[in-house]
Amino acid sequence: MRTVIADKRWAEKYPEIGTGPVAAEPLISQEHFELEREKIFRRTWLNIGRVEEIPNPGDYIAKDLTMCRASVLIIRGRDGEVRGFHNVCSHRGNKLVWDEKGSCKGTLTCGFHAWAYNTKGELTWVPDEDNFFDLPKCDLGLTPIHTEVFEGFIFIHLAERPPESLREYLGGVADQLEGGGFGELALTTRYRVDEHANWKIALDAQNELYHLPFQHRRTIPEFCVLKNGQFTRLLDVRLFNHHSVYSSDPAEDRVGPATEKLAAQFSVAETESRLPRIGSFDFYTIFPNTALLLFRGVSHDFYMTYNFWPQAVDRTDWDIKIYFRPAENAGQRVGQEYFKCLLRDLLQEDATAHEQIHIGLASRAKKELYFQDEEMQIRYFHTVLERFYAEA
Amino acid sequence: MNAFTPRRNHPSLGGPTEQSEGEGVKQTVSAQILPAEFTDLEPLIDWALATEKERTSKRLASSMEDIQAFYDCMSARVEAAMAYLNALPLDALPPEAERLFHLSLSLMEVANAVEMFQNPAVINGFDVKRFAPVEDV
Repeated sequence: MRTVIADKRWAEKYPEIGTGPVAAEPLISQEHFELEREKIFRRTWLNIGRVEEIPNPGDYIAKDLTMCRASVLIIRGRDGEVRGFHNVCSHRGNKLVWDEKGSCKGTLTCGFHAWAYNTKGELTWVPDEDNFFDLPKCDLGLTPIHTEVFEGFIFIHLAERPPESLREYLGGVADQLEGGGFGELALTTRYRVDEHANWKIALDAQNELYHLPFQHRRTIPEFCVLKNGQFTRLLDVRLFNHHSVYSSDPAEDRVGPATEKLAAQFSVAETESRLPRIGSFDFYTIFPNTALLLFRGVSHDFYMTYNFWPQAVDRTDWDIKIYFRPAENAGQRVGQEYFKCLLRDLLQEDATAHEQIHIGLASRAKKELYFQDEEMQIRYFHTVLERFYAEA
Repeated sequence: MNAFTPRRNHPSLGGPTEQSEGEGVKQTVSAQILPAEFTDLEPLIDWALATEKERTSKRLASSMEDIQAFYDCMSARVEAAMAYLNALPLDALPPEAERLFHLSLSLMEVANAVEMFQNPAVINGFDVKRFAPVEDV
């Protein structure tokens, strides 16, 4: 057991982040929302999904990024390459693909006038083409979007010239996760939560464990508090260029409910498969709006991703995905179901709270927020936000 | 042992296992509702539901008394059920075995209602219509 009981370690590790209160206004103001639109979401790498969502040539995903005022099409070419485009027809600007996910046999056709594109985004067919005037067909392919893949995670960048590659952008996060074997796990469940809360309120609320014994007093009360009432401490907090990770082990005297013990027993496999974890539970914040959660499983580790997609200053599409290693038998599958239901139920507790926090903050009764040392990673997230707000 | 439990040696689960992936068995008409060893669970057959959405709906539509009764019966039999099911290929369970599998999944669904909330729904939980699974594998 590696639980270390010591106070104020993270402020000591990262003195430059400071210890003072943090302004609440960016969490609720329209002005900051517009700053985020221009200075963050159009200037950073954004995680759109994973390569397993488009396994075959012609498979695509399309996503309207309200925050970026863009619709993005990610398609696997006949050559196997994953490419990203603006999901916009070159003729009259209609949105090309309307479903969020699909597969084509090599051609995407606009529903408006049937202009057709191949999987490389090239314009291949224009009905009644001869009646146009000097149509520069070769230049009328779909508008490309910078698209890069790290360990199967697909990211896009909407700038004309991204200031750094995805690998450079991820920096220390990529060092930690490289070769992680994420592709061996499969998307098992996805929840789309329509929240009436600012995206940062939702993310901040997930980005610490201090709330567990209280907000989750019914579901997971004993995770980070010992039987004698003493709080455990995070195993590690690491701050990267824009990102962070906090890592923990559960309290050493945690018992857990009866069905959890059964589920753990069912989850035993002959061979172990592990993700590149620091502790039993790692929570990465990949700036700006993605979280990657790695969990120690009984034999097989599992992971989750959160994408917080801002819809409005007070509205967020919280996209939750859970990835398990494919079960080898019924027992492992039943074990997965337990841990999935546990996470789902406690995230339902969280989602309710996100909306209540938004109502509280929107009153502007409180101008500042106070973070303790175990909330260092939230404080850092706000430091990174301020850095981007201040950019020219 | 996992992210929720402290690090200590876990008990190993005995019994044979078969390598297989995924699900997708087509239900066919079967004389047997459940495997012969599990006919005592037949009164609970309404809980044999294939998808998370159905299982959650059943949990939310049931009284706590019904949930508790299902939980008590199924908890006592789920270890035997896993020993039985683990000997079969997961992607080709016969219909009566698949029903037993779905009953076991429903136990996982209702466990929190009994062990954590003493209430069918999550207390202070989010509207499930706005928190529904969109891909239920």
